Amino acid sequence: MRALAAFADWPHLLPALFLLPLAGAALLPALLRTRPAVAWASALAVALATTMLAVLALVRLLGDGDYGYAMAGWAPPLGIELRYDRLSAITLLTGALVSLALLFARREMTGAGRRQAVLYCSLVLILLGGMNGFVITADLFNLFVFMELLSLPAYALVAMSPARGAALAALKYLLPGAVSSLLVLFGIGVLHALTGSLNMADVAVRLTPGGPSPATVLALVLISVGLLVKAALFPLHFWLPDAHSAAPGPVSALLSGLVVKMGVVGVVRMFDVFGPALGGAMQAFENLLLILGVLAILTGALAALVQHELKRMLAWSTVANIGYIFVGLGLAGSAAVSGGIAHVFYHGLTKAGLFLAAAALVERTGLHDIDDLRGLGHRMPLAATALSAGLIAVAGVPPTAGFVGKWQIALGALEAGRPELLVVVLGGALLALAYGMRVINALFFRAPVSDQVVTASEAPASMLVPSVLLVALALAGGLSGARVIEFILPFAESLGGR
Amino acid sequence: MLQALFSHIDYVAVTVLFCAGLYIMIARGNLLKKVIGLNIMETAVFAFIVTTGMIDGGDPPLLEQGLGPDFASPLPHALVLTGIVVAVSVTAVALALIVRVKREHGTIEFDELGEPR
Amino acid sequence: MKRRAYKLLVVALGLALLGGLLWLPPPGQPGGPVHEHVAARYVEGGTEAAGAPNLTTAVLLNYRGLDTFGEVTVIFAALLAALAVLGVGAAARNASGTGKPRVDARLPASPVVNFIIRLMAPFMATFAAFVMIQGDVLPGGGFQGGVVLGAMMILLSVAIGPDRVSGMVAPAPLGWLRAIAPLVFLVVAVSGLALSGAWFGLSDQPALGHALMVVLELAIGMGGAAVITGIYLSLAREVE
Repeated sequence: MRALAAFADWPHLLPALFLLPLAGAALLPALLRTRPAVAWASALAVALATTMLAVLALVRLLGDGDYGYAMAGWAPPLGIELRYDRLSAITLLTGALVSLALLFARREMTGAGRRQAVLYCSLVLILLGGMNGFVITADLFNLFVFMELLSLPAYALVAMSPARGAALAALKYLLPGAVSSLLVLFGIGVLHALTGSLNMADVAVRLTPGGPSPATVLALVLISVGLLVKAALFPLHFWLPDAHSAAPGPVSALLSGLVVKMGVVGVVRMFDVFGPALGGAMQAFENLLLILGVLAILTGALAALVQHELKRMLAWSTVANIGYIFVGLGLAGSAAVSGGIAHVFYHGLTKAGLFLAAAALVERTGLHDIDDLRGLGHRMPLAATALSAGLIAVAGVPPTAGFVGKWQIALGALEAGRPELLVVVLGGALLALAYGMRVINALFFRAPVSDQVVTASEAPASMLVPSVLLVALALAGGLSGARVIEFILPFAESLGGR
Repeated sequence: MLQALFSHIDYVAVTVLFCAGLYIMIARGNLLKKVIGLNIMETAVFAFIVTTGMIDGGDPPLLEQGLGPDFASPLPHALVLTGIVVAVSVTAVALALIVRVKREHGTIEFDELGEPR
Repeated sequence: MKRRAYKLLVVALGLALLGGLLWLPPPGQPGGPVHEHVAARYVEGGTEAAGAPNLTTAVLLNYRGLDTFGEVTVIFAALLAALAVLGVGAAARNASGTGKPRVDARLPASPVVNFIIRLMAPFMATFAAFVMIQGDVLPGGGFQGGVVLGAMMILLSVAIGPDRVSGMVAPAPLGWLRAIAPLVFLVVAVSGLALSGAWFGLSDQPALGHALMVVLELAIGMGGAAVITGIYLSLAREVE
């Protein structure tokens, strides 16, 4: 622990969190163009090393509290500042999912996928670097750059499935994504015109004297609409079901587990930028998020219930869970906010595990519909059990991971004097249980109807290990819940200057 | 009110351009035209950002050239340069995807692709 | 009917936008926050602090180098993405046996066009190099020069065919050439730790800092040109 702390105290640690994966990504196509297996192994090593760095960064935070870094030695607002706080810590650790997704994708590195293997690994590393940078930057324009850096590989990775509809789904992800990025840029431009600065803390301070002017409100609207499209909050979620269901399995896991949460992180950062200046208007904004969150939970859960395709059902489940997160953020009390942020972490784990397990089933049989997969539980017991367990976890049965966030949000609702929201929280969970049960029933308690099911064999270890691991963590997740909430609480309390 | 419009005429122009691009994006069913609409919107935003840094009768931010004292702010210029590169990148990926859609579906008209708008 | 609804929607959004934008300080007036805050400090710092007389280049490479690093990585990602997106389709297409004979995607250019392009190419390349190298004193810079160079390569592929242009650099060094911008940037970033005590720092000594800037400009330019040419060629060879 001593030695670890020594490493953690390296003052230049923070930029390495994104420089390492990006360096790997740039080197991979140059060095290992013709050796996909080595490329995959190297990419996995880089992803694991980045997770190690994230742990070190956390160690330092536990010792010294939040800390930052001035890039190129220029203090803000002249230069770009990085800032590592508890929210960064949670999201960076969730980035470990990338290593697991890469591990899962090993099968794709051979056979038909060989030619694309190096490109695939490189793009995944750029995605990782972009996400890590996104959550530790304290500069608005830098946030935009990292946002693009993580979005671009995401668009391409969706299209890396040989299925016929993949490219179209990727385009339907790219077009709203590009517009939303543009809206964020527009908003940042307006903020710069108002304050002359790009540093988040500096802008927050310089906005305040003016009070809520229409230009400030415009900037908030532009940036939030942009970020909420990325976060897929109702009604801006329309692109998600297509994109997340058409993508290859490990990519869906990353998209639903991590990428979509970047939008959430962005919105949380905006609370600190706009909170002091807008005061009462922020409450209207928070209320709006709350209402949209409720609608998202209901729409997502109901839509998931009527889906035929397994992965599409999981995608709609993501829409619902994003709703939970925003209900938490919209309630604005520290319990609710900490519940929302905890859910970012726990849902990330659970949904990633679910998508990996689902991908194992789908890719081994070639079947996408839940009804076609009847009886598969007996031919692929491990993968099917993982999927079933994950569905229980995402519904939020205690003590699973899904429970932690929802419980905190329910507490927050009571605290805020909105007991009616408990109906929504509970209702969403029951609906989730319903669609989960539907799948479990089909997998284990129905006779097979397709040939592919009858001749299917269990998924390989490279697919099983990551999915089983994630689902196991998700099942036991609730046990760590109290500690995680305790960790996030100081951040939730200081949010937005309240 | 009219006075405000005239003093901010640059921003009015930017808004018109932005709306034109947005309209093309949502109203035209051809994928390629949507990308063109996106590019027009992006150009509008870049024009906006650069305009915020300009000074009437000022000089570009070049030192040691005997220019000034009114310098345009270098910050918006840097932002837009980066933004343009990002926009080009997104357009490149979009075009690659359109080529593949054409190859797989035979058409790039949204209606023929069987998807509701 | 739908078109009418879209038009109304767009006009409404435009008015809302204007409603906010009109509250900004009027453009073109000195003395607003944009000019008085960070920008003024860049100007005051002068060439010594900035490392270059062209303040935009100074902002791009010195003060906000991380943004520029992100930018070159984004365009590099775009190349990888384009190759990946197009390649998957090609592999599937070949597997399903519909491999049509590859048609030469060269546009039928007239001899006049060919001649002019070949004549102008060296001048364009020289101009590109000039823009790249002089980018710290005059308006210009790494990426701008790179784009000119890339445009030259694209025109060349119109004149002599994309296959000959792709054949100009062997695949192995091409991988390095395309990644040269992020890689050189990373090297400079690391050297910053040694020379000035922070990632991406340019040295405190003006001569060394200036040299590093020129190196960065060239790397960004060459990398940008390679990436843009790469994207164009990957698209050109796929369109039947």
